[in-house]
Amino acid sequence: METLLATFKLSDSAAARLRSSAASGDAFASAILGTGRADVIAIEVLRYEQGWIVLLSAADDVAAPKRLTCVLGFADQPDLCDEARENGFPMIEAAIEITAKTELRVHALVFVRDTAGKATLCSKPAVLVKGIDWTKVAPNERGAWPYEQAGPIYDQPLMSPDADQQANDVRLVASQTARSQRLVQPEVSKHTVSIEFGDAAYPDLGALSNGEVRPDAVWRGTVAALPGDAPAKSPSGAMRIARKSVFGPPAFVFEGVEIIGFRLEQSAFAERAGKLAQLIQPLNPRPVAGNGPTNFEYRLATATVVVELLRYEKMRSREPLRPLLAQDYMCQHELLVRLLVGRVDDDTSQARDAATFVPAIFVDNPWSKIAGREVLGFPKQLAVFSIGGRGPSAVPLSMNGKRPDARPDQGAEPLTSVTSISRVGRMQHATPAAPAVHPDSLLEISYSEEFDDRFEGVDLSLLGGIGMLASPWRQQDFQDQVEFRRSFAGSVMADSFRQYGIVQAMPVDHRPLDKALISGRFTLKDVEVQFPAGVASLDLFSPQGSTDPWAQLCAIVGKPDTGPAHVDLPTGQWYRARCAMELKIENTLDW
Amino acid sequence: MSQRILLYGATGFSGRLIADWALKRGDALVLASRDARALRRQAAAVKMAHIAFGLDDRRRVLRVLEGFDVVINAAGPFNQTAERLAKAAIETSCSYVDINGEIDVYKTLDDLGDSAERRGVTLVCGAGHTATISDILLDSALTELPADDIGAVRIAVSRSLNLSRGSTLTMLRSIREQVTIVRAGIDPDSGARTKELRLTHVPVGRLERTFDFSMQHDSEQQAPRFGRLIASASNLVDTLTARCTAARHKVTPDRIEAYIEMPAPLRFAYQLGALSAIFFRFPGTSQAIASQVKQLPEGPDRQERMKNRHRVVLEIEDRSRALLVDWRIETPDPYDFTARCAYEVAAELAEKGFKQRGWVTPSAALASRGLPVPSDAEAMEESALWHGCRLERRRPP
Repeated sequence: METLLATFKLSDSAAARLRSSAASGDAFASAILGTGRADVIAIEVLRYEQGWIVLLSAADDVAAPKRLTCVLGFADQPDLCDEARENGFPMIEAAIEITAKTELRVHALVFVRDTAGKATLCSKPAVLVKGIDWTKVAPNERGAWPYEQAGPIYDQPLMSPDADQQANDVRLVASQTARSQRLVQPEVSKHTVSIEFGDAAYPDLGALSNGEVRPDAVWRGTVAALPGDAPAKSPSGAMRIARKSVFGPPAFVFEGVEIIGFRLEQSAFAERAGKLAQLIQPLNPRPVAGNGPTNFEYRLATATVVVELLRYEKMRSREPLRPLLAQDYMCQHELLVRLLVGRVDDDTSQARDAATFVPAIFVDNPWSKIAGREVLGFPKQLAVFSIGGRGPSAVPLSMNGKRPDARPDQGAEPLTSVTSISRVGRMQHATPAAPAVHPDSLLEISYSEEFDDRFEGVDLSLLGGIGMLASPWRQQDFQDQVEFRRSFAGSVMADSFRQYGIVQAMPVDHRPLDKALISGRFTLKDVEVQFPAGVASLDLFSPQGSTDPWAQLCAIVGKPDTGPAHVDLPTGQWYRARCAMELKIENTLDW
Repeated sequence: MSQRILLYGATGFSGRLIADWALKRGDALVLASRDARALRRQAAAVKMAHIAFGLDDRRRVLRVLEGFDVVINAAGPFNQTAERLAKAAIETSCSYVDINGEIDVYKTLDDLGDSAERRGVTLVCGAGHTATISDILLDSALTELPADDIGAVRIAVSRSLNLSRGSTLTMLRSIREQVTIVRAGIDPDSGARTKELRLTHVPVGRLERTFDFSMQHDSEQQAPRFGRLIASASNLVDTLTARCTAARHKVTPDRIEAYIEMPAPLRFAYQLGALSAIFFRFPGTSQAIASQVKQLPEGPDRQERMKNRHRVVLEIEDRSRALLVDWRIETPDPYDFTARCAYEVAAELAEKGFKQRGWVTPSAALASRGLPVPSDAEAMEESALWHGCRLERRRPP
């Protein structure tokens, strides 16, 4: 058996609760009712070689479902998750484990509200499916089965911000995912299977049932493709909907942000600037500088690359989707690569619109990953941030910076103690907030000196001054770039710790929607900086054969086929900062 | 059709002429301006509906434009109005036409071409006199020429004897040290020509040529005015329009340049002005100039416009510098003809069958009304657009 599909009709009380939640603006309940198939819920469990997928869907019929719309899906492997999202499945990474042989348990990061009304993100059992000997479930092989019969089709809208009203509108294209499949009903008795949903403030899966639910119908069978493998039928019927109703407004607040920045300087990489420029190609999807009306392009302003390690103590949407409230927040670690780009018209001698482009970014918060990939154009991937050395001795940190075994009164580990960052392979329940360390190490950091915590405040009202000294970018970074070295460079350096623009390209995956450039602006306040003494040593790793932007950066920084790229940065080439930030997305058509 | 075209800047000099031309064509536009009092007077004079609004309140602009298919922007200075109105038009799925002659504004607006295409609307910038005429001439010429052997494209316009207040301000703003021209791209590695047409700059005064503005059957009064005259390369939007039209024909000329006829004193003043361009940007200087310009009459009166004739010359050479095209056209006064062009382009866009979306040049917009340029005088007289014009397709030697 490779798949289990079960359907059940919502009880009257559950349906009433769902409607009530939707009426009060609950995003999960609204998503279910929005499908127009709110009475029947389907749950599908898929086993693949890489891991498990669990899909919760609204179905059109309890006994013979033909159309399903997935409202929430879980995958325990980030790549599976991304592939499914590309086809419109609203997936999130979660640990999926077999416990007691016949129990399949999904441990997801959900928002739980305590008695004081404070919502925190924590790992909780979200779905439990019992009654099957899961250990005998064989993994699917992609494309291994011929088409057998037409089973339920998934109707999944593909979404991406509108290319012109990025902050206001989402472009939505209807898409269908049909799979080759063979489902057999009598093979499993519906009486042996039971499903339980966990309660949480968001997503409130508990609204689907009052306790354990017995399905009305169960099928077992095989499918020939993952949601992400099945090509979506040619999307058609594009429409625009208000972004606010899907993702909330495009304004985010970040507090208690700590940054360690590393400048991989131009002098070492100038000859590689051409390769670096390839990293910004997503910003220039059209043929440029030519005969068409769009006669501008984004160019790399400097070959200096800034790699930053960040911790966000609090990050929240300015007006989050209900049931979350404005004061509810998340936290996370982040590793990102910043490239400075500018917009150059084809006849200009001076670039304009300085912005940071992030070709590679890693976070340890799956919800942040979704928001970044779906709304902001940040190609986020999941990573684990560890302390205590390299390799097996590393201890993964939780998203809030604490050790997994920390006492409640124990504080967060200093950001400077983070010594390694690795890609997440498969989510594990033991520490879902800091998932299992994958052999794919990304970055290892060591410092030659001890740190102190004496930061200097930056008076943002002073033009230049210490603000310029503390900028990630220096005047010499622009010396070979005629278009950028004058007022462009001046404004970048003066404003880096006051505000800076971002530009990203959407969608970050291959979904067949118009490319949109997402422009926004970070505004910083309460900035403190420090230039620590000593040498910071970085080892950058990339998996063999990988061509993603991080791997490209590693190839640029390092020497081919000689292991990790190693960089020693002396005093002045790396910095620490603390600040609060706000991010606001802008519309192309606004004025 | 009439109620679907909004004319913004209807109380200005060009705006009034556009409304008059629409009236003459039996059409009624909806007039708009930020000056409510002047707008009421103007609307009463031409018996057209009117809406007073400024461009500061975005929501108000969007609400107004939602009711229209096309908006004509005749409100200069265009650097203060064009971007806002064009963005609002795109957002409300309303096509946009302006008579802008400012090269920077043109370049700002052409960045919105993709957005317009996605929203299914049309943007036509520079639908005024010279850019429209030169664009139509070039479009006609390129349909007859081999695409792979175009060397230089030169557009020359005769100078206007009477400038409006708005044109004077535009001209002063356009004066800068360098002139924008188009050159074929060069591959930095191989040195070979590419298919790109790149904008580049040359100092004012470096490109000067003589053009023969004379036409057969010139009257005794016209003969001394239009002969072989010196012209200086200038910042005309014609250069940018021609680049788009060349690209549409998949032609990559070596160069595209636009010239204005200038007698010696004017050339001297132009070059002096270019040298002093930076001083014009100083707040005190620019305010002093603006206050002086305000003393000028709003524009030439009807008598002056009746007397004024205007000519545009199009020369196209092949790569061995042999002249392939040597055309010239005479039109009525530029301000009257601007009104015609702007209205006719807007009317074309308002037609249900108009399909082109995104960034469109005036010649492409007027494909059914303006092209091919009628070759005989009788056909020209019968055409609403070309009435009163003379075209001479001089056979190259």
